[in-house]
Amino acid sequence: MQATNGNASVGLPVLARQRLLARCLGKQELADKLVQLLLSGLPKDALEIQNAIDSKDMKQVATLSHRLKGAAANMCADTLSSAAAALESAARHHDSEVLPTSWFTLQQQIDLVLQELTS
Amino acid sequence: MTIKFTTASAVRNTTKVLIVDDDPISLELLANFLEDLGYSFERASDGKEALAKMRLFNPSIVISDVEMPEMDGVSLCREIRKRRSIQYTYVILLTYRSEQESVLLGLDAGADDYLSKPFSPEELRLRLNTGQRLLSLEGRDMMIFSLAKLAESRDEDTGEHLERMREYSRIIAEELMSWPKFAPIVDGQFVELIYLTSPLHDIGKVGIPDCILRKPGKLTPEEFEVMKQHTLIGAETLKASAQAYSDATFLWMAYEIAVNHHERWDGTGYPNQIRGEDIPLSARVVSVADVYDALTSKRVYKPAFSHEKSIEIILEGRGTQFDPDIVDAFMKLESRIREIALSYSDRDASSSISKLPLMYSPLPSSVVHNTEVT
Repeated sequence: MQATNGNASVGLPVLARQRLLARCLGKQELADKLVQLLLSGLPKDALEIQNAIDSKDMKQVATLSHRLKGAAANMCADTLSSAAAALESAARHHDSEVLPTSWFTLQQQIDLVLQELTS
Repeated sequence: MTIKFTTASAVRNTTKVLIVDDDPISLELLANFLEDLGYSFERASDGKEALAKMRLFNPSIVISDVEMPEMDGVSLCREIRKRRSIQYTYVILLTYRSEQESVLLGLDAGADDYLSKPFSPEELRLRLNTGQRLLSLEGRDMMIFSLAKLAESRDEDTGEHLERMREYSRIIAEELMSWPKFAPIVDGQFVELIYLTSPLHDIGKVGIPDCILRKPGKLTPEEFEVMKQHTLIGAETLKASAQAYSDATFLWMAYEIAVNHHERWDGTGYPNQIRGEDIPLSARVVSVADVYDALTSKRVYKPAFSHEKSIEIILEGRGTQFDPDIVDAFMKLESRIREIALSYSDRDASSSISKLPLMYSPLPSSVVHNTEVT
């Protein structure tokens, strides 16, 4: 599946499965396990980030989006990783103008990945 | 690049690794790679949990993410460096390429290396190999020093004599590096080797009978002849080891120090009465370091002499007992020598009283014979 939402993600795969499999040294079982971890973690991550934004805890927003950035990069979900990096940056700089947009984009990417993984 | 890992079941690596990351995906990947490489490992999800696990698991290598809740990787690194541990812990931080500041903070906190996320299994393997190489060197150094301490403990309770002596030897050698006369011989490797091997100078004592080695009073001439053999016993042992393990070149310096550290510049020392520059430079350096430390330490037959008095005695031996150049280098370093002497806490402890037999002392005879044995 190709991403269709968000300018940065146009034409890029939501999850580069072949690259992920190579990263797992060809172990399909490991790749599946990582997918399950991402699938189960994403809704929780989204909720925690929302709570941190609601309570204006920018440090927590940065920490959570940083973790998501890493997880997504490990999963070869590059657009999700980029979106998380943008939110992390906005939180670190206390940029209240950019932050809502970044969070919106990240939510879109999270939804796309969840759709991809559950389809 | 095709990566071929040896399966865990084929080779089990005894090195223990603690992996620390708040991202379960990263932990799972790391765990899988380490499993393939045959490492024993434990997981922790933040710095606090990592510290708790370290106490029980005692890892040699810690791979930690930087950004984590509770305690981050940089703070974890600082805590690891604060711990008093008999072994070194090699720390690799996981960062992002964009996080240059984190890398610098981490290295400043004592991290040894860093790995950029997302890393490849091959990168991880190479970084771990580097860590293991460093740890194996530490293991070798620790083993050498432990053997020296073991030999030392048989006849003397000299506190931190070996620690001080190797420090004196090291800074004298460092000084000689800048002297044109010694530049062709003394380089960084020489300095490292003398630091490593000087503590083995009396390893041959393990072959001296207790009745002589532990005799509290003056040795008879016959007993002294036996005592002198410690130089040859140590030398033979080290030579045999050097021949058996040709890669262990450091053993040759240990050998030349063990056999020659009681030789005197004027040729009246033992066991071979060689003189001047026939005595290897390493042994000439250790000879001064050894005597200075004996002078400034309390012995059963003498109090600990002051730094000034000890310097006076060293100067008296310039050109007779000691190589004049080494004494000159020693004098140039006088304030640093004194700092090292003061930096060890056992100077006045009663436990530092030596049971060293009187005639066996490396001290000038005037010092030994003018002092009452108590």
